[in-house]
Amino acid sequence: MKKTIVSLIKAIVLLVVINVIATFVYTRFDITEDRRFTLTKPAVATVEKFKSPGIIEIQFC
Amino acid sequence: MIAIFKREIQYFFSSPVGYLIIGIFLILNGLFLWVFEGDYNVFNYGFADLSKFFALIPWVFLFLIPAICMKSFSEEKKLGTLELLFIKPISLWQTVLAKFFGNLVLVLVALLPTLLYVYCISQLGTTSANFDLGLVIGSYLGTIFLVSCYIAIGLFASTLSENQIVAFIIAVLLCFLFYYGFHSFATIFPDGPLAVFVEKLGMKSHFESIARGVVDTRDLIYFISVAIFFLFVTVVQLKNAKR
Repeated sequence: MKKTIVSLIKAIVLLVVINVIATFVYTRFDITEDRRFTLTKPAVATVEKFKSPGIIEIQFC
Repeated sequence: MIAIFKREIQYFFSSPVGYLIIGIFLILNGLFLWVFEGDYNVFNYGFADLSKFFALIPWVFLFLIPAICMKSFSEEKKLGTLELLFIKPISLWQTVLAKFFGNLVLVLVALLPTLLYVYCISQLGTTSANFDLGLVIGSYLGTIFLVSCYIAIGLFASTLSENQIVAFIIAVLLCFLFYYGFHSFATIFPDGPLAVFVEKLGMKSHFESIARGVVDTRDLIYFISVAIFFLFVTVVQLKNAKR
């Protein structure tokens, strides 16, 4: 019984550690056709120049 | 290992179970997507994409997968054939994996006819075949990972009891907790980052992230690690039963 609990705790710790590491080291592939969820290079280049927080206005028509 | 895998598949397709599960899955999806007026109706939705289908699918599988997994170990326990599996010259991991892949194949066979929906959607668009293929591939990938987690949970639940109904209910409860529980638990936190953290513990946010067409290693690792964790707990549980 004790052995079981120890191995269970080990498994849970391993589960947490792997996921924590995964949040720091990751890559993402945007496979939508129009790269909808990725910032384009010009957008990143524009934002990089900002020094203070910007306000974004979105208009629906 | 292959023998157990084959036996699982043979069991599904030589008895009404497999056909019943596939039939119910397709009928439910078909009715909710194309016939019933409601939130999931594709025609009311007005956009020719499958997002409604992939919003519905986790809920349908939430009940169907525990139903196909519940017999895996409960029945063997009840009939006393679990001891026969123990004395075979294969490890417990191989037994569990064989059952896991057996169940996975059944679910994949159930998913296969839904490729017809992709064709329907491509014909329904104003410009035909104008749908986003990446999105569809991502959604199917997300579904396969979600389903693997459900199956792992179902297998674990079936080792807990000889009674299949108990196993079914535990599996539904665990799947629901992991899929929707954390998501709704997150809403009680007014604090943004904490709420996001709690939401990330559940499967819903990870599934939706893959389903919108972004394949992120964080989501993949989450699903794989949760599935392996539950398979591991299943093996531990079987080891205890062996003693």
